[in-house]
Amino acid sequence: MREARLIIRDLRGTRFRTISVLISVAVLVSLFFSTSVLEAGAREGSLAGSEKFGADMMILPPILPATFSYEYATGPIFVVERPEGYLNGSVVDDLLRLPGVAAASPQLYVADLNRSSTGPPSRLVAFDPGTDFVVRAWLNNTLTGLQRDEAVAGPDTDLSVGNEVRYDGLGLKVVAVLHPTNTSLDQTVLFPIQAAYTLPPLSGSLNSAKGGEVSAVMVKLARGASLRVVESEVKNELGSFRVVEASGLVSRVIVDTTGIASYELLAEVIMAASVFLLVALVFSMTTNERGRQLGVMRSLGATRRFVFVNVLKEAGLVASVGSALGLVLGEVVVTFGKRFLVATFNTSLMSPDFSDSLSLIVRSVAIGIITGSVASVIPAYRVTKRDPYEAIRKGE
Amino acid sequence: MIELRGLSKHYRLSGDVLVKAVDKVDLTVEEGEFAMIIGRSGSGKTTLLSLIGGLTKPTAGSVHVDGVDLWSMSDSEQSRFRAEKIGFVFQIPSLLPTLTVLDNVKLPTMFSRGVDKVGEKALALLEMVGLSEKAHAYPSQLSVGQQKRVALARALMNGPEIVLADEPTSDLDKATELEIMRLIEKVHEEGPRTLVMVTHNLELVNYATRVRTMDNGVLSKSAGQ
Repeated sequence: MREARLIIRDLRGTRFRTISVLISVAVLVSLFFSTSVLEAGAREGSLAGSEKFGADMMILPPILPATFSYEYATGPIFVVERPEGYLNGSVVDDLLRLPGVAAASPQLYVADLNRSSTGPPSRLVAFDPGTDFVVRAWLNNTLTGLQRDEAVAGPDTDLSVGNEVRYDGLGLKVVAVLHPTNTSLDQTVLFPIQAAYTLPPLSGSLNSAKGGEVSAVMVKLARGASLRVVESEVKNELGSFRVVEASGLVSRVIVDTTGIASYELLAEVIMAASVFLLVALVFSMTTNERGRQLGVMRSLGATRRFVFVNVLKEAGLVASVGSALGLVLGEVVVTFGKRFLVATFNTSLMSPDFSDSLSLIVRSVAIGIITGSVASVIPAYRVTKRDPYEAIRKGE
Repeated sequence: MIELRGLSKHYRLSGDVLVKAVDKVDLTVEEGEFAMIIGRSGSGKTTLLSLIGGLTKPTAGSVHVDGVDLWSMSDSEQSRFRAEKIGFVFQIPSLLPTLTVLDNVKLPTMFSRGVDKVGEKALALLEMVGLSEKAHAYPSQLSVGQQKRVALARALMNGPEIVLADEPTSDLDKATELEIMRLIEKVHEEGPRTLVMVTHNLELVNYATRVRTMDNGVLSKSAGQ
């Protein structure tokens, strides 16, 4: 006679109680899992969405009064629109070292493109796909790598996937078309900055950058960082660069998301406490019901420890199965929840990546098992303290 | 040998009412003896049996089994002692309802070491009590008399030296009562085992080698056999 068999038989013999605990744990785990996944998806979606607001600031070479035309950014900043001179590419690393800077990505204005006399004027800009955070948002983050001979095109460039752009000996194949931004990005063809450095300088084009030089650096601020403070840091630490600011929409979106997450956390804590009490109550009732049975087991030679561990193992097993069910239920909630949120709030939700998903699964299961097991500790302890004789007599 | 010296179990109920369930009991049961304790309901017989088996702690006095003080043992020692030396038969059979008859009989081996051929032994015991054909039935499918026979088989599973039986024939018709008593007699004789049985049924005294009566927690002197 094995203990596992005893536990399984007991669980099967007390179906109502077992199912009650299973459902309680499954509901807790499914709620925790689904809200966590949806929250993570909303956060990811929100961050991706915030990237669609473009860069928080653009760093340009020191002011050249004769040519300078940026005063303030009247809209989102996505792309350098005209040649304003050059910066040494090392400024990207310098910027990244400043407090409050989360990301920095260089762009190089190359040339105006005149593909047809009837079409809108376009421009050719090189960017760094490795550090970029403004262009990829308009590709739904689907473009994982861009080869040196590949380009992405704005929707108003009249280019389609498969078209070729030729410039000064450079052949670029369009591999993706950006979603419309209603900004100058729509009239831009973008290609890897590494390919731009292979162009011959002073080849008659507007591009006369030496290798490693850039036209501008797009900067994204860290959460909570002040635009003014970072701007001041740039000027104090790096020199007299021209800084063009965007609006503060990004930080507002992040603050809002944080607020929602706090409420969700509170709801989960309340839920976990409720389930904890429910499981404790059910196991308390169970151990009272099984008082005689456990008393008999003590009379047959079971130690207090055996009885205690036996009750905990039962709870742990039910909680584990309940957690597994909760994950399945949670996945269903996520599927329908996503559809509901997208349809109702017209928002974008992204799935967490593999490591985040794994972490959420582990945390959800751990919460279910720990809640179920810990909730049964007090009833299990109480039953071991009971006199076997009293336990047997009370059941008569 | 079982030796009880000045053994008492008192309860304090609400309103400070003191109940002396067992009061200053002295008793010696020699090895291989069949001792029977007769008494009315509520006289303290079951409490006395539980004290002998270490199921409840005495208020005063001592229980020595083969010279060892039961209450000087740790919980695990006491549990092992119960598992290996004592077989209990309760007034209500107390079989685990979720286990089959065979599994109920096997159950004590979970708490004992060195029981070989568990399945064969359990079946042999069920054969002895005449219930081998019910091995895979559940307790709820048995009559009370059959359940008591299974409980007796379970009590013998670990080969105990001492069997403590609490009203093993209560709520049974005469024929079943006789069946159970014959089995108990067999258990006593074939062991040979020390047997302590409590009952309110005076008709059973002839089975015992020693009879004592109990009233209001007090054990009388030998009532003869």
